Amino acid sequence: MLRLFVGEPNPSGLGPLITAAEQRDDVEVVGVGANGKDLAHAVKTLDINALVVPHSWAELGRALRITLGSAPGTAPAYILGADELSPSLIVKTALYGFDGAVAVAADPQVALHKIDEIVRGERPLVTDELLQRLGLRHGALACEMKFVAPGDAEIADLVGTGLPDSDIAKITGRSIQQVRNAVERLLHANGLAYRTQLAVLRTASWPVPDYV
Amino acid sequence: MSSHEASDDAFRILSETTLSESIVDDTLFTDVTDDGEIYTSYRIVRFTHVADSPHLHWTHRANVVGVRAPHLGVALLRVDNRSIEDSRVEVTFTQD
Repeated sequence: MLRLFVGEPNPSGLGPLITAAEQRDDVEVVGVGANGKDLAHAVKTLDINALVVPHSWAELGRALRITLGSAPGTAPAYILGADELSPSLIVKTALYGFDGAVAVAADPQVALHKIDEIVRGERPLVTDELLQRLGLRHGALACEMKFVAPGDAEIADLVGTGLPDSDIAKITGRSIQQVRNAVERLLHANGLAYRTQLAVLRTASWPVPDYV
Repeated sequence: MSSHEASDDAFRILSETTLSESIVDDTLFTDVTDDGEIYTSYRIVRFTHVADSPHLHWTHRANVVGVRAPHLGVALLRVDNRSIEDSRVEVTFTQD
């Protein structure tokens, strides 16, 4: 039995998925959540195989991953539902720590089948050729930031405000060599490939109090 | 030739006994490429050349080794106040 919890803002494109699930004996929609607090409660307390959220809630799914400290590959599976899938959506889905993404609009029954495959680990995102080619780490933007040396958090904060290394050096009284070494250290410690990812992670990698 | 380019005759060879610590405080530096997005750290093995003129952008050449990956390379460096302000690294050997 595939047990789903579905995030359903209004309006949402996941209505057809819920309708399709109701027509099947081997799929149960355990609940429908209207906000992040509902989803957090479902993940923490309900016996579900998968949490399915619409594309518009991708950020919310990432926040849940960070707050609840769950990694891709652990139950329940985090799945993004979209009208259509594109390479950019696949990359975003993987960086945000989702286990998979399904296209709902064309055939919701096919989407349910793919959700079942994702839950069983038969459709891992990390094997996606594009991700491997880009050297991107699954879930890289869905974890709390790690710091290695004293002062790294200050550097990361300033990177998160969009400042260049030269300005960060002036503000912190460090040399540009020290700032660049710190940025490289932060990128390596957090499994990130690009400086912009560091800025994104710093501004987004904090637990949402209401979800704890 | 722009000030960021470097010809061989703009540099003179440094003695092999020159200690890196006599030129910079820290031999670890990070080269930034790809429109400021990719950060690659290197450690200076030895400073090999110093610029003849103080007006050139690049002040030194050095042999470098990758910190995270087994790269050997040659770096053009701008050293100011014992700190590396700018770099351009040409990787000459990579062990995959």
